[in-house]
Amino acid sequence: MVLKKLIRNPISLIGLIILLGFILVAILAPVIAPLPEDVLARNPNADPYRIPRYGFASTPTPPSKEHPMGLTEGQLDIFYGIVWGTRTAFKVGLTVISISCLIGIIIGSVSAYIGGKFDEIVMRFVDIFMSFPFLIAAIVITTILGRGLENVMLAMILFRWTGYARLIRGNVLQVKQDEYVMAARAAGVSHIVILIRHILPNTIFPVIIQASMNMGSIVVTAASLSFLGLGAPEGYADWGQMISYARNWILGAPGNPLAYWYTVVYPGLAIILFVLSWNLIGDAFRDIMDPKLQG
Amino acid sequence: MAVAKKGELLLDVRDLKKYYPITKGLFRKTVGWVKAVDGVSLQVRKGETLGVVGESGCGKTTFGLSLMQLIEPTDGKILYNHKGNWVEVNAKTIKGLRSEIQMIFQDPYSSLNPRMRVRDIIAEPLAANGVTNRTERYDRVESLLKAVGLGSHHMKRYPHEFSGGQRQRIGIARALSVNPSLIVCDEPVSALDVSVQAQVLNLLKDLQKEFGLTYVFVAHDLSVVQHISDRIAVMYLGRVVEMGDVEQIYNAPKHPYTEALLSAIPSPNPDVKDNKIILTGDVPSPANPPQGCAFHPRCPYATERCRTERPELVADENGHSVACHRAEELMLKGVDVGETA
Repeated sequence: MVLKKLIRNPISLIGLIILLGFILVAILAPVIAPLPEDVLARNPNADPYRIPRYGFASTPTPPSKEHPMGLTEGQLDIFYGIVWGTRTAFKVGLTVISISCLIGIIIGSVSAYIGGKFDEIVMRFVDIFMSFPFLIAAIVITTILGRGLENVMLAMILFRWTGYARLIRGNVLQVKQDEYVMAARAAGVSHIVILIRHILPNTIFPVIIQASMNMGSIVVTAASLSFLGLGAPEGYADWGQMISYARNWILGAPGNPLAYWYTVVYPGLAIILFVLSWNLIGDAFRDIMDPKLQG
Repeated sequence: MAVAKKGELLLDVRDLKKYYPITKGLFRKTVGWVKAVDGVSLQVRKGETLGVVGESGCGKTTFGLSLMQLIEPTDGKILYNHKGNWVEVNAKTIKGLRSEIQMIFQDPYSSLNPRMRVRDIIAEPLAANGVTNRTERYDRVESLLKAVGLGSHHMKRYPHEFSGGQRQRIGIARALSVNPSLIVCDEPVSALDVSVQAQVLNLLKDLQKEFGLTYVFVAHDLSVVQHISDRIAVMYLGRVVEMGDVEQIYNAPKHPYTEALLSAIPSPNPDVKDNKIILTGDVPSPANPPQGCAFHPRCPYATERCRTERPELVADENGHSVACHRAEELMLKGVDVGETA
């Protein structure tokens, strides 16, 4: 039903096709970009998320037949990094979104449903979380817990759920005044069932739309943290990391500003397309999820 | 109506009050109270319809919701005759009484969950009151839909596929599902077109006969309650100012407020001269009701006594009660029952 409408809408169709491409790349990563044989020969259990290295020269190598997108400084294969980085992007995006969404929905809806002083206290708590500048908070957390993708995800979850909690709280406050909630209470339905059957189905869609829009920005945030050196470890297949390898080469060589274009364009393109696809789908979701438009 | 009078009491409300605090400042200090319902006492007999009338803000809806314990009353007692035993309706006992007392809501557009199918909406009170078998529930829903003039082909549809009148029928079926004795109707037709209002009112009347229901029928429209009620209670600023049989209220109102309400009923006959009593001013704020009789600032007959002393509700030998100091001396104009029907 929903899928049919997503396909019929040209804008979301584009988003869907791009996203489908990324999903395919993520699934087929071992086929598209297998670990080179010499790495496997040395260590059959080598971590495929480690980008293979083809030398130690500090200047990037332009695209060639063996390395279609070139090599970064330190001679890491860009094509390999982007293919396996797709998996990282999905892993980070889906984990952060689903967990922070779940926390936000539970806390926000229960707080609004109970209301009164309880709601007041919970929302001030949310305010406290929201008052931290996210990047600084993330830096503090990774400093305490150490560098790593998991810690970056934890930091993002810790500071993302508040947005969803606020969003759903506002919706629940509105819906809980509706007469059908009153009618359910008059029927003797328990509070937990009212929340799950009556309130959440009528409040959750804006949150889901928000979440699908955020998928892209989560990946950008993860990339920027990796760019700052907080995220994935050295040599890990991650788009943000790929761009951070391009940091010294973005301006090109003297007299030739485009000399090292491949170091930044390919990973940048991957991030842009990923974010774009989620935003296009999120936009289309918003129209589709309106029950009044359901046939 | 005389038959209804003899009936056994089903509901006995004693001095029901609902006050809302007015809070101010950072610490929510209570600076006053809005007396939405301020000491309502009334009885409802089995099988009759009690109409509760009043203008917006007089507390009639709050009164209805308090009966259902959807709003917790501040004070007072609600006694319900549960198969011969008097039970006090409160937050604890209401759970066991949900299948006895049900409610029909005002707005059929917001009283049905837009994401639930009609059969699940109607079956919900059943599910919540111990009918665990799904087929049994849906069988009951099917017969209920027929009883309210819809069909079994409507079961799988969503509320937005129905018109206002049909939606209200769904709401009625939901209230009927658990076989209640008492139904609180909170302005069930005020959101509907006039033509549909009559259909729904007739349906409610038919269902009352068929299932032996008792209604507390809240409305702001005297012409609507006249059609369906046996007795009427007129509310003003959280209090009952007059209560009696339909004939008593319509033919011989004793309270000036009732007289004004009656004169406002539009007549379909263009030859009838309008003698509308236009009340000046607004309903006073229930947070700060006037001294004495709450109606005195708008009452054309007010005297010095009305400004200082609050009249109590007093019943005459025919069961017609009124809260007015001048009830005996005033000759108020009613309307002919039947003329406006």
